[in-house]
Amino acid sequence: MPSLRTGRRRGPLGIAAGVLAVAAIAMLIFAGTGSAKPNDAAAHSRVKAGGTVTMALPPSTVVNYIFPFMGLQFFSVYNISYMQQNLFRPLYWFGRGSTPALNPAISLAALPKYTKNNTVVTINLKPYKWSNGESVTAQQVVFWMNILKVQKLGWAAYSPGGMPDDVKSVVANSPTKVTITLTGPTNPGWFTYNQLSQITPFPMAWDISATGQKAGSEACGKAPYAKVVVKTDKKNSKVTPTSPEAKSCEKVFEYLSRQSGFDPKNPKAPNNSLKTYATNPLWQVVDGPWHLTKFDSAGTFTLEPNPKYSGPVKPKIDKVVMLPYTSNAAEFNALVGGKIDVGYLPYEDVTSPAKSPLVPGKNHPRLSDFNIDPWYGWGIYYIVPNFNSTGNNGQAGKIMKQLYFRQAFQLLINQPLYIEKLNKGYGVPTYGPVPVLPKNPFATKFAASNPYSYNPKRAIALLTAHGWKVDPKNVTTCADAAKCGVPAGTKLQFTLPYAVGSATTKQLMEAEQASWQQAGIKVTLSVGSFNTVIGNAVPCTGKSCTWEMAFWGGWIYAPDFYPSGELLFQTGAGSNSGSYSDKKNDALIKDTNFGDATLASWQNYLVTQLPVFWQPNQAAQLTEIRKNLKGVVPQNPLQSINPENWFFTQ
Amino acid sequence: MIGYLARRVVQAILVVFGVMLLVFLLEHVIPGGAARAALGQRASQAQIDQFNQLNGYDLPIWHQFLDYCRDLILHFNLGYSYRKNQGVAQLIQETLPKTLVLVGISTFLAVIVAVPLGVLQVVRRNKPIDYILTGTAFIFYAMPAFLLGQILILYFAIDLSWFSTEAPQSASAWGVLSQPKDLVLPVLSLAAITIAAFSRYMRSSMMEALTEDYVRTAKAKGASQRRVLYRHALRNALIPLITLLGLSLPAIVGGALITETVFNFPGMGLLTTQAAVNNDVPLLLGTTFVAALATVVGSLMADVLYAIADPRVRYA
Amino acid sequence: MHSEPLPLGELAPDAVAPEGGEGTSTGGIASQVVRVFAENRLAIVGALVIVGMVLFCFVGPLFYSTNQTSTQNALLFSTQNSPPSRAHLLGTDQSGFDVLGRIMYGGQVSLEVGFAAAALATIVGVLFGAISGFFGGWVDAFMMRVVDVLLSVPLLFLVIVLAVIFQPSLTILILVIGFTAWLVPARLVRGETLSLRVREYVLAVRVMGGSNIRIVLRHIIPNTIGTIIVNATFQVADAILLLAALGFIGLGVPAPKTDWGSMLADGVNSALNGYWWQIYPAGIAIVLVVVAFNFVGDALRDAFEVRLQRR
Repeated sequence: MPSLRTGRRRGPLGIAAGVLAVAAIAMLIFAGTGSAKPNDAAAHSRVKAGGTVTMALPPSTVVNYIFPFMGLQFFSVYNISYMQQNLFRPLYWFGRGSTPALNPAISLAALPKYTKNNTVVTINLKPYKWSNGESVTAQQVVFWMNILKVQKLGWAAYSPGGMPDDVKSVVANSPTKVTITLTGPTNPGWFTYNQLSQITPFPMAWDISATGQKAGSEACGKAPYAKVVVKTDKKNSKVTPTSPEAKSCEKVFEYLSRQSGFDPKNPKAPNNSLKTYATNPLWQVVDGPWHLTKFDSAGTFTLEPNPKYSGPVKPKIDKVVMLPYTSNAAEFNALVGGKIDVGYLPYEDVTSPAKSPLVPGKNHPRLSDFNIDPWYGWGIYYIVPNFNSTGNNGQAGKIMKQLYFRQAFQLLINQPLYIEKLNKGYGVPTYGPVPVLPKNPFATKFAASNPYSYNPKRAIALLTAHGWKVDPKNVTTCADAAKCGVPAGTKLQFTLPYAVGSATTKQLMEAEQASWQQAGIKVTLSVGSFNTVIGNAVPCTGKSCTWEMAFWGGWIYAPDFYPSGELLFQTGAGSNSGSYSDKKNDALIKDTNFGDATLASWQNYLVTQLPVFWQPNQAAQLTEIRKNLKGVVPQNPLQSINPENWFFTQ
Repeated sequence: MIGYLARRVVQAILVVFGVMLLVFLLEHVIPGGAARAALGQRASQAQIDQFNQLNGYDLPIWHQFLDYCRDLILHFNLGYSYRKNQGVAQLIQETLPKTLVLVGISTFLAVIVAVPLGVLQVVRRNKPIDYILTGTAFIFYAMPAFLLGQILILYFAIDLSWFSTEAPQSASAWGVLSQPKDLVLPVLSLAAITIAAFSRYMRSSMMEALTEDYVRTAKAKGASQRRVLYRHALRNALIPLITLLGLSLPAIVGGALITETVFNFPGMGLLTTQAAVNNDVPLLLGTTFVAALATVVGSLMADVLYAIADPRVRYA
Repeated sequence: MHSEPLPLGELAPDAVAPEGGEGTSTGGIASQVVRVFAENRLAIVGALVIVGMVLFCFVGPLFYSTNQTSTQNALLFSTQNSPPSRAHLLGTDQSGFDVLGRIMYGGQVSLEVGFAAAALATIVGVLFGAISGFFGGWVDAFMMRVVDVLLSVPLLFLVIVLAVIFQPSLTILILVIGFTAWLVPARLVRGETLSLRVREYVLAVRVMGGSNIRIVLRHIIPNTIGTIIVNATFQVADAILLLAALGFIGLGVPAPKTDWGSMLADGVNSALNGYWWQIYPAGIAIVLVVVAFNFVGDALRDAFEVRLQRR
């Protein structure tokens, strides 16, 4: 390194001057907080027609798939809620006010009727029109079912036993009536919320397989369901179209997917489709209140009203612009800077606590122009224990299988404290598979009664009663093998990888770690990316099944809006990461899917059984809405948006 | 020199190949693989198998790598990113120019400020201005990028409203250039740190150059202070800086993750990070490829310039 | 590396080759260093700051003992985000931890990682660079290309992969940071070695039958010690800053430990809330240590250049 050869005589003063200069500037920053915008006068309640609303997408979220029949790789709540459903209405809309219930007013059909011992479903369509003049017809429902038959494995919401496996026939009796006959009796609540919820009628303009073809050129759209014949292999892992109609459906699916950017036969083919979303005439055929006018590959897009929308509520504003953000901090900067009309407040910036989970506290001092509204998602958060784990000298799974241990572990989780301190009151304790908030018709009183409230004394007593020597300073060990259920000397220590999340996630994990230590349960935390955590925490058996616990969030009940357990807790279910297996639980679930049971018994059972360790249910987003923008509240718990309800005042 | 260059080009190809292979192998260490990362927690084993079969992940690793290389070399096809629903080549084509604009302008600014700053510090050696500049340089150097960025936003964008809180949001490089006002804060944020580093370095190398024999000779021959400074010392003092720039090339191409995050600017830094975090194999390989190219080119430039500057060095 | 641009320590092969003679004795170097140091007030200030910081971080908690490990207790027994007061001299952070105590606690990690990563990077880099420069030819080409390969691998990806293979811990972070940092001293030392190996005295030792290892260890490395030490001091600063960057992304020090960078990152996230005590102290600590190391590094460089000065 080249040198300085002179004997330098720098005085410390010069350096100090430099330091002071920079410090002075920094001082001004925090002194200058008095530049908050002046308080808005009380808004007049006159509706002002028009206006542009800018809305912030959640951090690191980009909307990038438009064809509303997609596989898991493009399935995201944001693709569906923020874009697709505003353009292409689903048959049934879920989310009424602040509950997840079915909303008949903006559904395309009247409520389904179940007859013949719940084996026949009749759907009567309302008179809706597509923007190209077509009517929304029963055959278009059949069109969607045809595609499903051929591509069930490429459909994100498919689960074995659900549609189309349990569908015997689908018939369009008239332009407005569809009859679905099932292979056996079903549970109407489950079928409506988890199966019918998947259907989006497709226009005949999409029944083509090459650009420029006339609407209906292919055979798929008009084909009767029975004529679409496929062959499924024994393992239910490959579906081959055999009839000409089925082959036509395959071609239509491939074409529409390619137009959306994904080539199912050759993913590596060059793809530039994102730029065409707003200009492709295919996607301009809409039956929803909006159509896409701008879409750039960075993720910014614009919705403008569809003048031909047939629904009850027509848009009042001129434009909705969706903006993507790289991080919470970037969005908050933009929000305070005045660039956003509907944004969100990161938890670390909440300055006043909520009055109650649903009643917000005072807003941030820099956001005097905004109202804050907590948005609770329709989902649950939990830590997953691996019941087959061979970690901790082969004992981890066996320990998890002991109910008393799970109870002790849960009893050490002080949910109310974390909600109060970390979420500033915007949350509610959860003790079961059905969320207590948002208000819904499914949660039982028992679940809301919090049977495993924070009680470290009881936790320690449970462990001691089962032969453990509790050592809060170090680690608890098993003293009496007969009572413990594991060999003597086994330590109660676990590794818990969790997914990088917000600052409050880190605080939550650290607080729980300290809490478990009270009973000598030594939990070693490690943070990883979301993908490495879920990549590791898969259902497994055998020696290599070493993961012990994991936390990456939880589960969102979408598109399976019915909070039943067949995807999560049933033995062998694909998303039953911890391999929880309980015969009574399986029987109860079956009853809720195919019998006529409500969710009550199953739910209450799981509340007592602790198949996972419940975490507080915090508000998914603290939405900030400009004071003069009305109609955004109440927010739909399924995280879909209805911009047609929004309007400016004054 | 020609022989040396030819050897280096061959080596460059080997380096790029080596990097790709290394990253490729490391990718397979991550559990769940690309399938689980793309499909998420709801995927059944059957769906994962189908995904792997469609995308070639069920082939042996060497076969996968050879396929990738063949697509890259013969078809310029860098693959497809599920997460972004875009071809990797397109993604890089769109993101790289934007990044070059942002980081390139910052680096350029850093150079044109740092050089005179370094010279000034030498000319006014040990005077107050030297101390202040050196002090400020130290402090900016020591500031983490996220701190500087947020402070600039807080003061200039929010409290004073002179600038936007975010960098230009346009998807194209031209669009970014057409919003120069929004570029000010992110460029300043990046440049401040680089200027600090470069000017410190410039100062040292300038001082060193001034002690060389040829300077004393020039002075003895009666050259003015100015002539000595600019014609002799500066020219030679610049050479190490140029080699430093050559070695900065990977950083310019690699983007600035933290600045991009703070200023909401999805550039190459964020693209690479997201690819790593999302286990998006083709995208990660694609961005690594670009970084590797930049590294070998920059490294070669640096070595060549150094050899030109100092004939004593033998690369035998 | 200090976030985006290259660190101060990075440089192409030296423009001026060291003139040093054969293996000067350690005593000579040491006394020279001490003399230059004593004359350079800034270096003394820097050294004092560093020593003071180390004492503050490691010995301080004995005098100012606070809860720094139990987030649960912090949430239960103290108020979050409270401004400086008699109970908490520098206020509390988002979890309720005492900020002053946290500066000490986090400083232990920052300094440890800084020193350890710098030491690791320096040792590995020096050996690698010396061998590469000394043998030259295809050995040099191969080793430098290895450097190029490693420079191109994305850092964050490496962090993720290592966290998957090994249990993420402080050691892993030290390895990761050291792993990216050794490339710089390697290049530096290689450059100097390229010049040194054609010196007459090296050829003389060869003629006299000295082995290559002896030449490298006894003649080459001691004559590059100036560059090495200077670079090492910059490495410490860069390591602390890199740890801060990792903390910002969320893949930093595992709980319940923390470091200045993570504290600063968390504080910056609530910059708009006016909690200045969550930003300034950690920021000033980092700046102080980095600046101090720079002073010391500059003085050391002066010391070795003066020694080498033949004019």
